[in-house]
Amino acid sequence: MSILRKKRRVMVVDDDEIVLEVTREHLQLAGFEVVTRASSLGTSAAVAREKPDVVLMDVDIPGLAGDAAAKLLADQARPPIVILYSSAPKEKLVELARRCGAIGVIEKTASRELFLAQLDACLATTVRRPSAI
Amino acid sequence: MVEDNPVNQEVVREMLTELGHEVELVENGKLAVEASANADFALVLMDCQMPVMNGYDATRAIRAREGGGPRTPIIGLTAHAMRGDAERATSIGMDDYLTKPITMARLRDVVAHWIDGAGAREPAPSAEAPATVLDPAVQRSARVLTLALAQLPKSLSRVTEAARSGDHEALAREVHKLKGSCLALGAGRLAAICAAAQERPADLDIGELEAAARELTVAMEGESKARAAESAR
Repeated sequence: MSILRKKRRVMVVDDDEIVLEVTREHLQLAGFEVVTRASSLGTSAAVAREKPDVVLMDVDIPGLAGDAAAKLLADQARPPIVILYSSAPKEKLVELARRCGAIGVIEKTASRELFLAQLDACLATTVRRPSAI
Repeated sequence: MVEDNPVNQEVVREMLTELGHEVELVENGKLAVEASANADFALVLMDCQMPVMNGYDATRAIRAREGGGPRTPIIGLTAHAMRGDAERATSIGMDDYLTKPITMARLRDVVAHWIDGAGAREPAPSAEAPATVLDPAVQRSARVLTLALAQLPKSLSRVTEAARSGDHEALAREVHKLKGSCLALGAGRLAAICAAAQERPADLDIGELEAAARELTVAMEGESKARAAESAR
């Protein structure tokens, strides 16, 4: 197991039940603690309560777009690492991530290896910037 | 090497250096077109999805400049192990492709083949497989299968309703959501239909989408029964 995955608590925000469950399994089998939310509304309060280290945020989600919800998380006393999580084109995601303060993007996939490789790549950037953790 | 992701840049650069190659790095397709005009490279490793100019457009530009002259091998780096990506890469002028995450063995193989012409390359793994109804290489839990079998008819009904009403905005939204479910399930064929419909909602063949959804349902039911039989043994 990568050192990047040890004892990390991850919140997954996505309105698709299948995506939530598949992602929960990807993460739990890799040793993460996982909490899930089916709505972006109220994520700030949930983050304050659950204190995740990392938030995987869907982008096209009803109520409050994922990038807008991500911006709100930056105001937290202890802001989590935010990663956009979507099946939208990567160019669009990278631009959105830059604007909303997310550290990276993960494209949805059924492959656990591909999912974890993307997550590791995102988390590796925070290792280089200790202040972001 | 043309790659925007700093982690991938570092990983692949280290691999190439270890294989004994000199590496010049640029971070988008536009810079790659400029760099390849000013120097001869034995090989270009080109990420497909990048900001400013993506790898497909950069490859087209490089091929257009080369005309009928010497041709630099261009290897696409794709994030998706789906036939559509591979076909797209080779159809626009790339010579070969690697699916991320890239392994040392595959990189060595491809680079040796295109630089030395000596590689006895193994065929690419899942990247050359067609977009399957339900990817057999992916492990789905019984819980995920049950959820998906319950949710698919509802998603399909929302897509069908949006298509019949002629509301293209709603249709694009619904197929985007269904595509996300399909990608998480490894349902490549239906995901590909949804992706195309999201780009061009007016061109959606609802019969084709419904047929793919039926095939997916049958495949998931089969997998679900097999899983139940396994756990009963």
